[in-house]
Amino acid sequence: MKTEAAALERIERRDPLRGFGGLLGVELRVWFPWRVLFLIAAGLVVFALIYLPWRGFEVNQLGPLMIGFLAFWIAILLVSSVALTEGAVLGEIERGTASWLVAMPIARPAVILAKFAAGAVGLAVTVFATGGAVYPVLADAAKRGITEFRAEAVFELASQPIGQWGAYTRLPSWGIYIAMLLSLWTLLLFFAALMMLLGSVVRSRTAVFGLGLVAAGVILATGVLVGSAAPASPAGIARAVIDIAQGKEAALITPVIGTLLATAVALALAVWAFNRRELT
Amino acid sequence: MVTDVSTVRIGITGFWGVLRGDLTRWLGRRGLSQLILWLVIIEGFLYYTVATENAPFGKLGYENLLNMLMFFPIFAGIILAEAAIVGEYHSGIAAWLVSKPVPRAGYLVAKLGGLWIGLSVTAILIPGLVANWWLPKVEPYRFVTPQPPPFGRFLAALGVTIVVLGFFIALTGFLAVVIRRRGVVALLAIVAWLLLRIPLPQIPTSWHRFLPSGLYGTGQATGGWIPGMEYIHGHPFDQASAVPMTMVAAALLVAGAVLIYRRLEL
Amino acid sequence: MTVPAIEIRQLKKRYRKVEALRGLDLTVDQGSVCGFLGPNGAGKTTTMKILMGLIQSSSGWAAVLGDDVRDAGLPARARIGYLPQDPVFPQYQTVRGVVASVARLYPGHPRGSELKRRVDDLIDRVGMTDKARRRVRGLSGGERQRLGVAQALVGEPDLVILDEPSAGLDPMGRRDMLSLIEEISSQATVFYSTHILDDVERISDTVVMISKGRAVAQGSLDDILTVSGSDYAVRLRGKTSGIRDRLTAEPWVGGIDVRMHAEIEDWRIRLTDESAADRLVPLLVSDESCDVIEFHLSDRRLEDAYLDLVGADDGD
Repeated sequence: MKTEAAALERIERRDPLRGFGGLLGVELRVWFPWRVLFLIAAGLVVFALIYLPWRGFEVNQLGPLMIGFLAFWIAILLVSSVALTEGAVLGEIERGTASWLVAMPIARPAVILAKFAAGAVGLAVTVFATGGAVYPVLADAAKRGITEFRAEAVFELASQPIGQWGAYTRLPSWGIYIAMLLSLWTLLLFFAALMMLLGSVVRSRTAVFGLGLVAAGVILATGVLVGSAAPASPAGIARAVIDIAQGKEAALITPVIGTLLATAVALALAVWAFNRRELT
Repeated sequence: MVTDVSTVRIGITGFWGVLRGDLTRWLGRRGLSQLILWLVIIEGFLYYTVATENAPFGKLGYENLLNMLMFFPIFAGIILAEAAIVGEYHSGIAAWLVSKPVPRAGYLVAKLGGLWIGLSVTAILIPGLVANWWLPKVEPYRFVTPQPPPFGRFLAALGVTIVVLGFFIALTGFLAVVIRRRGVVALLAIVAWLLLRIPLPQIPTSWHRFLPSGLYGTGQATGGWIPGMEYIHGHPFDQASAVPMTMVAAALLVAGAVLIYRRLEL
Repeated sequence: MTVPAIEIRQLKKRYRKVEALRGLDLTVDQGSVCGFLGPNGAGKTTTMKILMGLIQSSSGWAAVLGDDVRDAGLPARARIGYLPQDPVFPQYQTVRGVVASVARLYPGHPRGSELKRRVDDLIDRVGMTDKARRRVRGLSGGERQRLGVAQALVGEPDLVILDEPSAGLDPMGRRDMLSLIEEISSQATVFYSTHILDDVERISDTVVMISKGRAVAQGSLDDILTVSGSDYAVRLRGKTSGIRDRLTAEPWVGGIDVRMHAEIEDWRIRLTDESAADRLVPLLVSDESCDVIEFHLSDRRLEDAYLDLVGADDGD
């Protein structure tokens, strides 16, 4: 028995991804098609709710439209990624399916990594499909601006602090726009990893959900509302994206690298914790 | 043992038994841990905003307090209501309880009501009153007005927050009996909170007098302030009619949830 | 005449494409201990859930203690104690806390020291006094089962419905559970489901066998043992193939189990018609190629009846 256990341990050590492919297929079916379609629809609805009244504004500047949409969209994406992954690990443990899974020749790290990878694919499709669908409308909006002299429009512009609410925002090029979407996706990856970690460590789904929302709240508060986020942090991504939407210059590379590192650490810790977790 | 006891009496006993059980938890370890959690979060954040140099929210003590109370406890209410209804549905505890002489309506109302009372006291009332005690002692807490708001108005603002909390617990309860999927229920309730938080321009301003958004939404007209903030500074509470309307909406949501729950297979 | 504790007529329940109950009829008299037997998926838990008002039947009629389950509601449930299959209780509560909180759900429940006495007494009856302060999350499966019985009894019910009370119990736990059910039966009607036929033989006075959503047999234990016929044990020596063929051809012979020991064969002959027993002996002795060494009525056990009745239904 001892030698068998040792042999199994060796196999597991040698192949921590054993069973990953099969599990990934199962987990992808959790995200596709309904969950992803729901998230895309939610993003488009948010955009429509902000775009339609924007058409009636006195001053059709791109800034308010982009900031309004991005701030809301980031908030909904963060809350969604928390809400839809809070039970990914702990739900399986509570239902007993986690112990059933690891009783098969499946390496424990593969369970966590397959869930993370499926989430990453689902969130990527969500971000790029929604962002791609919105871009032509933003491009059209950028052409509107002020086309004729109207005293009230000038007055309205003058009342806004320069640089605030993106009165002078220009449409980001496709390259920058894709970089923004990629950065947002990276931010969501961090949350997916964080939720895996919380699910592997904490014992209550309610607590996992609450902690995930607190993390989302901190990132929204420091990144979007206040703008005091550390540049090399996940909140830095939210800050940089909002800055670009305001027509400011912002470096995306620093927060993205910082967030990817944080994601890798969270994921590694999640795998480590799940490896040690007693499954009943 | 009880053949001669009327159905109503049995129902009330069952309802009270469930409510009592939940309230007892709030009076015990759960309540204490929640209270400590909320005191740390709310008083901590508040102290940071009023007493720290270059604080991001600009030393708006009472304003920040009301803003936080419209955020943290309500999100907690949504998550806990989802856990109570969907969690107990899937775990089998709901089936176990309604196999006793507990009416399904009583079970649902007791669960949501117990949560509402517990969270109102531990996350809104006590942290609010504690903040009202120390805020005037901290300089410079007053950015907008030189004096702390009248106690009555402050208490009324806390009451409005409790009404909003009740609405979102009811909304989550309704979504929970309809959808019965953890995560999705809370997500939808939070999205509803977000959408009502910044009242959509499509909705005429006058409508907010009849919607929960009239109680906690931030509007252009108020410079991004929630109505309660204006009220504690002596302004009239224009959307006062939203209070009974929100209560009615909450009651309708609970009634709808009860109707569906009565037919639910457990 | 007292109303039956449980009465079910043509009860049907359909879950989308699955027909869980297909016209179940059964009656459980007050004061009886009725074992509800059937294979997995036969519809036992579905029946109990309908009786408790947890799910609704697709058609048919069911009454508990004289009240239709569709509108019986609270007064009936106040008179029933129910142990669900795989019972779950709030993880944060203690054993005593669970029993006390359930007691408070019943109208006219005792208070103060009387409530405490009743709760402690019940916890003692299920053998959990030393674990009364332990939280539910720390209990084993068997202990949770005992707690389930305690909470089912705390309302002093007239009818106790137990869904697999012995499941997950070790032999001693099972023995204690059976003793407890026997004890309960002096105060209430007991209707319980189980797979363990020995348990039914030991404590039940009536039995309902269900298969594929229908009752295949019900009545007193003695009735059930004879309803599918009787078994005769025969010991033979010699050449037996001829007599075996002749017996098998008879319409009143349900089957023959053969065990061979060197030159001797032990047969167990099942008769579907008890009155045909008179013809069995002459037929056996008429065959000169073998000798009948022994012949007697075999002790028929519930397991045999179960396998005959449920097995026959499976073969439909």
